[in-house]
Amino acid sequence: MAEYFGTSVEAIFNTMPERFRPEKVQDVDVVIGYDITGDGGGKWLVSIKAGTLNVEKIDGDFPSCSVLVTAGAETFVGGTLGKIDLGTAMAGGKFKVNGDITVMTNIVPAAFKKFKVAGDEKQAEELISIKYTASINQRFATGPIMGKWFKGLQEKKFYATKYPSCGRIQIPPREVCAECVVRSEEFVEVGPNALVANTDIVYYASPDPLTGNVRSTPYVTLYLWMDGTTPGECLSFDLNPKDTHRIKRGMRVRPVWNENRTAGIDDLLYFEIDD
Amino acid sequence: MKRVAICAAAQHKIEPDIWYKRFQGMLLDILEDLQKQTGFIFDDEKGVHDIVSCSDDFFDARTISDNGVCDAIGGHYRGEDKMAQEGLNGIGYAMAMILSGHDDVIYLPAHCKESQAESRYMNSNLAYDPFYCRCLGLDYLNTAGLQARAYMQKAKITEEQLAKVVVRARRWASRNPYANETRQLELGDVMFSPMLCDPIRTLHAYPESDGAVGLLLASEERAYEFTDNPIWITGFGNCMDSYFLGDRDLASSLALKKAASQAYKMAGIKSPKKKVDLVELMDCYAYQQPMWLEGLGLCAEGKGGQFIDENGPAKYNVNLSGGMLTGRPLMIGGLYGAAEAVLQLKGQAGEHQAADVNCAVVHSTTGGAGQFHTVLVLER
Amino acid sequence: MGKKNRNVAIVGIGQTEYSSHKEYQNQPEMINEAVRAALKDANLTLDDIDCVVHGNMELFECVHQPDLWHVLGTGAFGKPQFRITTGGTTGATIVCAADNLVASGMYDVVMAIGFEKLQEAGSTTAGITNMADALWYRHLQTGALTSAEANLTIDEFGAERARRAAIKHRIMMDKNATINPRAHRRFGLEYEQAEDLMKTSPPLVGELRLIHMCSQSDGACVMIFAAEEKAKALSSKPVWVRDHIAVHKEEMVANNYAYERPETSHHTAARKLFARNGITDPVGYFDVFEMYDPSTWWGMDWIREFLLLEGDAHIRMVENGDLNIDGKLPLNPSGGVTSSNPIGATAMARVAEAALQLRGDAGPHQIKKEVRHGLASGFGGTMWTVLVMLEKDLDWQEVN
Repeated sequence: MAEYFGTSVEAIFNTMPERFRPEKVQDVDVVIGYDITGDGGGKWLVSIKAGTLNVEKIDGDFPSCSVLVTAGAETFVGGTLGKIDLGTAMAGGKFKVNGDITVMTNIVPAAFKKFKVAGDEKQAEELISIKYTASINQRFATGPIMGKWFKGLQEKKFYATKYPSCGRIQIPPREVCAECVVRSEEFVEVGPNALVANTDIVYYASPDPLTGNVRSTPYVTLYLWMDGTTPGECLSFDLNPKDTHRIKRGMRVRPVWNENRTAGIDDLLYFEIDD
Repeated sequence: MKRVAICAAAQHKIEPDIWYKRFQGMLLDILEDLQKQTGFIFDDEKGVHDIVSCSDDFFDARTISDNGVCDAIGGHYRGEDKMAQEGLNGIGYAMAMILSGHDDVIYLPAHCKESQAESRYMNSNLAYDPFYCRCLGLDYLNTAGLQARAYMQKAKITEEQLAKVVVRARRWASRNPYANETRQLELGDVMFSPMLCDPIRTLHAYPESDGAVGLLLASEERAYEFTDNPIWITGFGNCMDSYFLGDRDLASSLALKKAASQAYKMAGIKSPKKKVDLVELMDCYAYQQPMWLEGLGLCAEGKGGQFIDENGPAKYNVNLSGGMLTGRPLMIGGLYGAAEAVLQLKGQAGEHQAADVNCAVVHSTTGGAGQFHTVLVLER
Repeated sequence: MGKKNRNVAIVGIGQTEYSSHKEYQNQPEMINEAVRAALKDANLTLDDIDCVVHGNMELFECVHQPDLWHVLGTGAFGKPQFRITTGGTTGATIVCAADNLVASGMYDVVMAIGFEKLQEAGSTTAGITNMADALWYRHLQTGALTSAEANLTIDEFGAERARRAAIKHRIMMDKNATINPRAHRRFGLEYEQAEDLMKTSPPLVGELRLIHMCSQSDGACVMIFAAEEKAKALSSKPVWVRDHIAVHKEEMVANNYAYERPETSHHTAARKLFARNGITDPVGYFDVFEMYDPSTWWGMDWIREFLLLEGDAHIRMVENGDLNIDGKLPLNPSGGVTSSNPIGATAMARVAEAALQLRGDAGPHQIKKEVRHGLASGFGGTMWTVLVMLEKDLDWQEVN
């Protein structure tokens, strides 16, 4: 049997049952296909459902999977042992993940205790890692200008600031026009609808630094030209998930309001296609 | 070397909690004040096109804290460098930008709200290394407590002397329209106030403060376009001490002496005791007033207590604004001192104006127990 | 802008390797490694340093006023020290600061230190999102990840051509990184992999795929600057700082992708810097350009912005190999930021790498042709730019 880094592809799959941690994956329901190519490789199907694990080596085509991993045997073993950086391998096309990547980044590491080559523990120096969350509560001020914006949202209105000097009509409103550095004198109501100038469909789940919650993906961030504002102004906001795959630049959108509004960012749920 | 001037200064009233304005609003008020005083504009040819801002990412709880205020400080399509130490260092840096020839006018806006975070001391605990000092719970208050104990023993500082410092500070603060804490005190109020961090009592400590300051600096060739009485920066120095408290002699300020020596040398001052008319120093805690005066060479080493009893601080017009002790935000405590010194030198300090002020020394400190000090010399 | 008070040169450069496995060093130790390397390179000791300038993005590692702790490694004990931070542009800002401090006459020899230890940060993207207003945009921003630029590039040149050019540009960068011993990520990509990478590299946001995006690296970069007289005495190959400019933009970063787009800070910086230095043909003038390119799509678009090109000239430069290490104007011979991004050091590393090229001792990734005029850019904030011009010879000034 082909050996890599003192062990084999088979060993990793054969030890999955003894390394399995059902308590960490109680709510998980996934099927992972592993297509390991090269000497010592093979095809495996790993299913985790309701806290139970099933690992089987298969022949032929893969059935429907939550995610399909394709990698060379050496890359797979090296990545599992931490000897090869999987992020680098993935970026370089040597480790491919088809499907929900968070299965590999979040679920698999939780589901199994780390695979160790027998005798390896004595050689490596133990790296003690302490995770510490520094948390200092903050109370941010809106000031009267931004305060008016939030008050407006509560009333299902969009307020913009207008300046005596240039012609800019900006949202969200601010104290001063950055271009002429002159204080804003008046508010004008704008919108409620807008034109989509650009879109970002986000697949990468990053944490919201204020709550720590990881955003659920995919989601679309819109870059909007709100009616009544000057064309150099852009309001960036979320899109109604139902329109994720329909949205195109040039479309028009309308706001969707939260039924419970408290003069905060959650008052505006998202925008959706205005058709 | 050619000279650089501070043409004008603008101060935002210091308050315990400026909840009703955000930074952008505070800075816009400062900008309008300064523009009214000097007529400066933002412009590539004759105006400001480079800005030295001052703010702190921890106090603002915002990465790249200058990005949030860019619009209100004229940073859009212009250069802007954020001074991340206490703001007085921004003056030294802005001076370098002008002396280098890169600029001839610099706008220096600064802001800080201590009230935004649930605890300004928790912020300072994060200045310590994550493995040892932070875990011990060190912060700028308890390191000051350790230093206070060491210094008070050396300079034979008594409770009554500390109380005199505080009572005097409050008296002067009541004449400063920008000051934070102006309630008048008796010696007994201070001496019997509860212990905050032994030997520092609650009334020995500077109260939580919010504020903003702005300055306009210009080269010698252009200063008179903006003011009839430019205030010259004749000396600047700063210096970093060791990190671990045990590596330092806490009762003596190595870094302050070096910073002061650099500043005096640049200013051509051989005898500060004879030359200096006014001092604005950053006394976060009462013991720091005599201690920093020793470091500045205005009081003999180890004689801080005696200096207070002999009314030394009055003789040198120390902190006629009320100083840090009556409340300034930590990251701009020195800049407020600079603004005050500018007013004094211009004769615009109103009710707290001193007579015959020609040479002022402004001081600031960053870090626990004065790890880093900055000294500025301003002259008419 | 007046005449520079006195000339300033780079006399010492030190960089650590850039990687994501620096568990064996703490922050001051990592900085100290680069400090020692720079001092050795300059043939100086700490006693010769008059002033230290320090910078990074402190909310990543969550150390408040880190220069206080880092004195253990910076060598700033007993010395004057400044700390200036401007987001991603920090490294380049402190190059400019060191230049200003020496040129001013206040200090003769200044050491600038830029660093970051992203491995000690919770999440780099979350850390960047922290730059947005807490009450509004912080809930919406996704760090520096966006496909908005790519979308517009595709609009302008067609999906096929744009994607091919982007991936070709990325592979070219990787080829440079593989011969840079200090680069973080060296994949060993070949041009034949282009088709495959275009399809299989996981998409992060829209057209922005993992392969296009910069790494998260740890590392430190230190540079020593000296006044003309001292520089000439100290170094046989001083690299002169000719000029620099910083251009910031307003807080509302989304405005960069508004219906009517504003002039980019890159274009503004280049336009002003070149005009005041009498440079009308930047492609012809410069021999090397180290650009801070956080993603391939941005980097590719900014070729046009920085070099003041029009139409598809920049795409043709990519397609024709003009920006290759042996091309007309080598771009990022170091591999650039998509291969190494220790944020607080990154912008300084651009200047350092350009300076090494001018000195002729960059190492395996040295440009073979003579390099006399260098350009380096820093990026960060709400699409800010710092642009620095370097010269091999002190010959560009008018004689008074």
